Amino acid sequence: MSEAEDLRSQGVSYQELISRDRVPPPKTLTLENAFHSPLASVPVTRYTSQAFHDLEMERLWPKVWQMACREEEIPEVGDHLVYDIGRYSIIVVRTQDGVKAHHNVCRHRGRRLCDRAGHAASFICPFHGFSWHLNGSLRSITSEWDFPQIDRGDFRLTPVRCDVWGGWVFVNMDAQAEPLAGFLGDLPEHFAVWRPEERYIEAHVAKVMSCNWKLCQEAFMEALHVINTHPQILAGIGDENSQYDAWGNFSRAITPNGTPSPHLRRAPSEQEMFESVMMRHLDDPPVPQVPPGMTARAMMAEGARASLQPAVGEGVSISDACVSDSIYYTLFPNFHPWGGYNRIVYRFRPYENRCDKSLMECYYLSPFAGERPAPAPMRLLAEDEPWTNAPELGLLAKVFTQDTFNLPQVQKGLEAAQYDEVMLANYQETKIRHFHTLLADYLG
Amino acid sequence: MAKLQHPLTGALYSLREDGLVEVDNNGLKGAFRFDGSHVSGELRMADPHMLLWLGGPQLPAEHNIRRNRG
Repeated sequence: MSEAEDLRSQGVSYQELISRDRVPPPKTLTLENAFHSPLASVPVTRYTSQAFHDLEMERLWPKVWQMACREEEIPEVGDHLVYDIGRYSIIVVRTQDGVKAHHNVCRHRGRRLCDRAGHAASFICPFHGFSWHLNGSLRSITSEWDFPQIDRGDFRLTPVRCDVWGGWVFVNMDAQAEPLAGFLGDLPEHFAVWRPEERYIEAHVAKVMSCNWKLCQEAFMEALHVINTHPQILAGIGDENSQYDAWGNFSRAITPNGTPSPHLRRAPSEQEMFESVMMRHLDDPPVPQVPPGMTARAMMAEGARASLQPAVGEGVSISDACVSDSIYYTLFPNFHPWGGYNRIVYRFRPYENRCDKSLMECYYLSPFAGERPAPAPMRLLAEDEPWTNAPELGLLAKVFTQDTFNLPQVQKGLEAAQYDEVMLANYQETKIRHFHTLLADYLG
Repeated sequence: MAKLQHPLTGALYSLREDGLVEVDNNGLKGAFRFDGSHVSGELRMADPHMLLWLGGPQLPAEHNIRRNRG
C-alpha cells in the first residue's frame, strides 16, 4: 500500500467523532475497511457509448441481483408489478407460495403480458389470450388443437430467480447465479439493528434524468461534491471527514453531520452548526438555542431520538450516529439503502434502454407503530419537471434540484470531451472506484 | 424574503420579491436569475447553487421542514 492511499483530510476522523457521542453506535459503524485498488480513472465511454450500454445489457443486468420492489407493494396473492431494466421486463407476483418472478413475455408471440402493476388471478396475454397461472405454469392455450408442437408441461413463463431481504424483493435473470444471501455478504448484518423489513414506503418518487445511470448514481456516492453543489450546508457537515469502506459487493460512505466542513476558513459556533443542519435561512423564525456545554451534534441526536423512539420501540437504543449522520450504502450495481434511521433509499437504472437517460428513484422508508400503513404510490416526474413537484420529499427535493443542475451538463460535457478518462479521487471516490472494479468483473 | 450567507465567501444572498437573487459580497452587489445569469449590478459572478437554492423552484411552505440530505 502506498503512502498516498492512506492520505485523509484534516480534521476529526469519523471514528474519533463517534467515540465522543453520548449514545454509542452499533458495532458495524465502528468498522473500517478502506478499499485499495489500482483503478484511478475510468473511460469516458462508460457514460457516453451506446455500445457500452449494450454490453451492460448483455453481461451485467441479466446476470446480477437487483432490487425489483418492496414486498409491501404486492401484499395479496395475485398482486404484481412490472420491473423494467433496459430491454428486459420482469413480472414480480405474490403467489400462494410466496413471491415469484417471471419474464414479462408471452411464450406464444412475445407480447409483454403485463403493461403495469395490478391484481390478477392469472396472466392473460392481451394479444391472443394464452394464459398462465401466477406461479408461471401454463393455464390455457387459445385454439389448443392448432398447436400440436407445444408441450403443456414445458410451456411455462420463463422463470426469474427471486428472493427477499429486508422487505426488498430482489430478482436475478441468471439461473446459475449465486444465491442472494451469498451476493449480499455481510450487508444484512450491517442493517440488522435498523430492521428495514419493519419500514413502510412513506414516499416514492421517480424522475427521468438526462444522463447515464452510472453518472447519476455516482453523484450520490461521495461527499466530495458538497463544497460546490450544496454550499449552504457546509457549516454543519463534515463532508471531507467522511469515511469510505467496501466489502464484497457493497460499499459504504458515512458523512458526519453536526460537525463543520474542514473547507471552512473559520470554526462556526455550535449554534451556527445546528442552524445549518436545520437548513435555517437567516430570516426564518429562530430555532432552539444549543445550551452552553452541549454540542450541535448532541442536540440534533436528542431531538431526533425523542421523535423516533415511539415508532421504533421504547426498548431500542438509538445512537447519536444513527440519527445524525448520512450513512449511505451501495449494493452493486444500483441499489442504495441508507443506514441508521435515515429514510432514504435510492435506485438508479437506464431509462428506455438508452445510455444517456436514466431513472432515478427515491424512496422514504419510515418506521411505524401499530398497523402497517399502506405504501405510497410512485410519483413519476418527467425529464423537465422539477423535484419540487414532489413536495413529499421535503427539503431533499431542493437538494436534488442542485444535483440535477449539474448532471445533464456533465453528460453533455463528457459527450464533448476531448480526453479519454474520467479521474477518480483515491479516497473520497472510493465507492465509485469499487463500483467500477466490480463492473469490469462482470463485463470482462 | 429568504436570506443566506455563503459559508465560504461570506457573501449575503437574498431573494427579492421580483424573484431575482441579490448578492452582496463585501459591499459589491449584483442581481441574478436562479439559473446564474447576471441581471444588474457591479458584481457579475455568484455561486449558481446558492442562487438555485434561494431563487429556484420552491416547495409549498408546509413541506419546507424535512432535513434529509442527498
